[in-house]
Amino acid sequence: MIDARSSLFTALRTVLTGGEQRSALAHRAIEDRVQSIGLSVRPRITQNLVDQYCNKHIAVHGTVNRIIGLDNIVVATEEYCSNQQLGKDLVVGGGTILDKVIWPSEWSIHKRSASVSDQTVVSEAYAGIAETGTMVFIPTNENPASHIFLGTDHIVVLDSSLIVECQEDLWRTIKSDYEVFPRAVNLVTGPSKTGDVEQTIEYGAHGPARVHLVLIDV
Amino acid sequence: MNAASTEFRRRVRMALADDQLKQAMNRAKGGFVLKRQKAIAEFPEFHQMRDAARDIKDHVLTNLDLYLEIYEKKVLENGGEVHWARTAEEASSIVEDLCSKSGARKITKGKSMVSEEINLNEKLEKSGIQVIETDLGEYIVQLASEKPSHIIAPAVHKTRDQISKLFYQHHKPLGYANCVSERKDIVQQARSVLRNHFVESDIGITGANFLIAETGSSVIVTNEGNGDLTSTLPRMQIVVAGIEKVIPSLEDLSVFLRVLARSATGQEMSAYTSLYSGPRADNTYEEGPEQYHVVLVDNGRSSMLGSEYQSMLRCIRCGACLNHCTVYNAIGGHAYGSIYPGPMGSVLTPLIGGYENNVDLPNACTLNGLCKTSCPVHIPLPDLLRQHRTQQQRRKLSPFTGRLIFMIWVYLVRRPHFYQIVLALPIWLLNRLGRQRGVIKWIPLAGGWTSSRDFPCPSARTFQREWRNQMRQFND
Amino acid sequence: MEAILGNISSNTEAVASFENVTIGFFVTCIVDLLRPSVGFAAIHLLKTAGFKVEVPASQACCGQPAYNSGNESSAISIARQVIFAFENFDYVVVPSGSCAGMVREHYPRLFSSDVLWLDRARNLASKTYELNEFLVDVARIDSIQHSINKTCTYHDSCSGLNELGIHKQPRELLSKLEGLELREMEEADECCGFGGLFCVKYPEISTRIVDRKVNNALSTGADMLLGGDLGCLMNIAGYLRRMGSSMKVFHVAEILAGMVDNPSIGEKDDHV
Repeated sequence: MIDARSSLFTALRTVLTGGEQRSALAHRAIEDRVQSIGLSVRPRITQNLVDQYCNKHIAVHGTVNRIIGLDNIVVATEEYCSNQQLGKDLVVGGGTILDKVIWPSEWSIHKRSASVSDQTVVSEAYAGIAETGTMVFIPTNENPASHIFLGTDHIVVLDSSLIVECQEDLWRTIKSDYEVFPRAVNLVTGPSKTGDVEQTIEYGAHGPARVHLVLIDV
Repeated sequence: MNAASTEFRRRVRMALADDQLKQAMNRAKGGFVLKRQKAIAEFPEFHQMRDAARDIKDHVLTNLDLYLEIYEKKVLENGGEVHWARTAEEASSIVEDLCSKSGARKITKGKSMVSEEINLNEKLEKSGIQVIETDLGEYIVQLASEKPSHIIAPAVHKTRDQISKLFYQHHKPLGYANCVSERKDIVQQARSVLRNHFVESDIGITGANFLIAETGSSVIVTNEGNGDLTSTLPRMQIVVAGIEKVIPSLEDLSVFLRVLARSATGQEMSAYTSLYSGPRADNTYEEGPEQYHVVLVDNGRSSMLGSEYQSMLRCIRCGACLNHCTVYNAIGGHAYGSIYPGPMGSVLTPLIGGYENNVDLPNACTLNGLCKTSCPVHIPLPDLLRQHRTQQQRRKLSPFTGRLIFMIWVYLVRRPHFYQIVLALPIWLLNRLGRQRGVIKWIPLAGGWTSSRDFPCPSARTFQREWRNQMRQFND
Repeated sequence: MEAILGNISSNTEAVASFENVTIGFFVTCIVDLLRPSVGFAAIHLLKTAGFKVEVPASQACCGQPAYNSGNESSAISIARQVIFAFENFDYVVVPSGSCAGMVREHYPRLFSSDVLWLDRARNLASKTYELNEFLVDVARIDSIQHSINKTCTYHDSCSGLNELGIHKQPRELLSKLEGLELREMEEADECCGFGGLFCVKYPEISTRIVDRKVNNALSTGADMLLGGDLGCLMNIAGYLRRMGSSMKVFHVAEILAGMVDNPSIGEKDDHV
């Protein structure tokens, strides 16, 4: 009995090559094509990258606080929580920046996966893409995916030097940082939303309703 | 007229009589069309991007076997599994098998049109597995026991009032005592109800907007976050995708992402674009699925390759053609009777489901071309619909009287002098019939026109006759 | 004769440079059978612009009904006839975007596998124009000596717009008429629901679509609705008349030729 895979490839090859096996040359050409790095037409960016990034993030309903130095992260977090009337009960992820933060002892800090009842989550992003105001996350045990998608308020800490111009720059960065492409890469642009009711946007469909960026000039 | 045709016309009549549908569709049209226009106006190079996207798709299609091989190899390297399905039945059986064997009781789903195409939910539910649609639009139609009516906005046909009532009916037994009618509250209630399903789910099933050969990744483009919760929290992840979804590299992905969200919803980027490339690396990871399965579905796609319909395989399921289609706007998605409505559905459905059962879809179209101008990958939809009509003629699928009248018309038109002689009397008669009022209220055999419109009265003589007359007078 | 032409005032400013150019006028089946005044208006405009105009007798239809219903072989035989009748003119002008589109965009496609006819089809396509685009882009007429104190709105027919890109030309021509105010309607570029055979095959859908178009038109409060395709105009006028509306519908050629006092489409002819 011919299995589905063989039967499909036979059907494809009949059309594409008249049934002939592809030459080694053809295989190599395709492999080269896969590896080739192109820079395609992109929207022109007229501002500096950081300003572009912040403006785009705000345009998709995000909020920003630019700070200088890691020491101000706690202050920035406190400010946000007060403004939103949130308690100091935070799920906190890890990372080069966040691992150095000393949280006030009276705050409840949880370093674990997020759960459905958690409200405020603090994460560190891997990078930012200026073209679209996108944050990039590569989930790890310390920075699990649940931090991105559960919770109502997502505070994201990002080193402004990690902002790249476009997606293509991001792929290059990831490929140089990782020998094996990560199992998950999440590009996040603004809060969770839906237009399924009356074609009008509401925020906080399943993911966070608010994404607050704490952008650090280290 | 065959049974399928009668059914189509019945559904159309129902849709046209539905005022709430009319309200909902009007709202949708304004939203989608205007937002896309605005997004494109801000990105003047959009049209170059469309050309690039089309070129990548065409290149992939000519080398589809090679790209699928590379993709499969990469997924296997990453620790995932790839399953191949020639038919819808095979595909849904593969998924059902995976679910049953793993002892799953509850499954969460991200929105996946191909899973609707293969009737996956029905199959799983028959096996006693609870299937929860988590995309809000899909959740709404699931509650209403309906099929989605739009490929990216499944509940576009529902008004807020209808959704509010649905929620009250289904959520009251879960302890939600109050009926919520504000949009914000409806969304909050859905969030609350679905939350626990995400964590309790045994298996998460999604579709894929793209499959990347370079990295063995499946890509989902969403706004809610449900697709990601579905892909990440359960212990098994199943991705169901058509074989035409594969693209070569990450750089190619960026080309498509730039045209996809702009064409679909007028956004530059959706809230969540995620690449998943396999199961969790090892058991030191707390989150992420232990198993990652990709089910690649043919179901008629390989037959489109090398045919006049090959360009249809470029489709990235953005829904722009639906949003711009005058007929879709008038009748809504359910009238089409197919999981793929609108222009792309009218091309695809006869190719997947056969011509006999889908006579009307290619014909219920004015060929106005708005779909073609809005398609981000330049699919010549009106030409493909015309191709279907040619196929239908070859198979003699139109009514005999129509074909007879047509043959008579062709005979006359090819003999212009005889044509003028034959038509002189009928035109003169129509003129006499209507000259008192300027219109004719009813014409036999033309009830299609006169049931809702008057027929403007023609002049007593045709242009050609009048012109020849003038020429003769001039020469005399 | 008077009944058809009404009061076309003549404009004697002929342009000398087009003296040796002959236009083959393609009437279109709908104009020929159902509203000849459109043809006369178009020819008047072309002659006034200084061209010689001939109307080959061997024409009946461009073949679009055959083509759009999937009868390619019939469409091909009709197309051959059209090519034969028109290919030796300097220009071919058509008072319809959809028929002009058929010749320009689709005739070459019909003959794609026939080298000889493909050449002839391409040749014909290269000199075939819709009336408005011809008057603006080729004849470059710079004035129209009519004044008319009315308001109008314009419906862009789908083929003209989407296949031939005709949008600004009719508006430019209308702006040359003194006293005429153009009020753009919402969704002017949306389909009216005619679609050839579509309107009789799927009448309820067609009616819903024309209803939307008509409501958009009436919202402008304009006296008249104009357009470049008689099929669309008959559809819109037929619905307006059935609704009891007094909004007048004309082919844009008729208004440009000064025929505003003639009975509009679907209006009773008081001269009879």
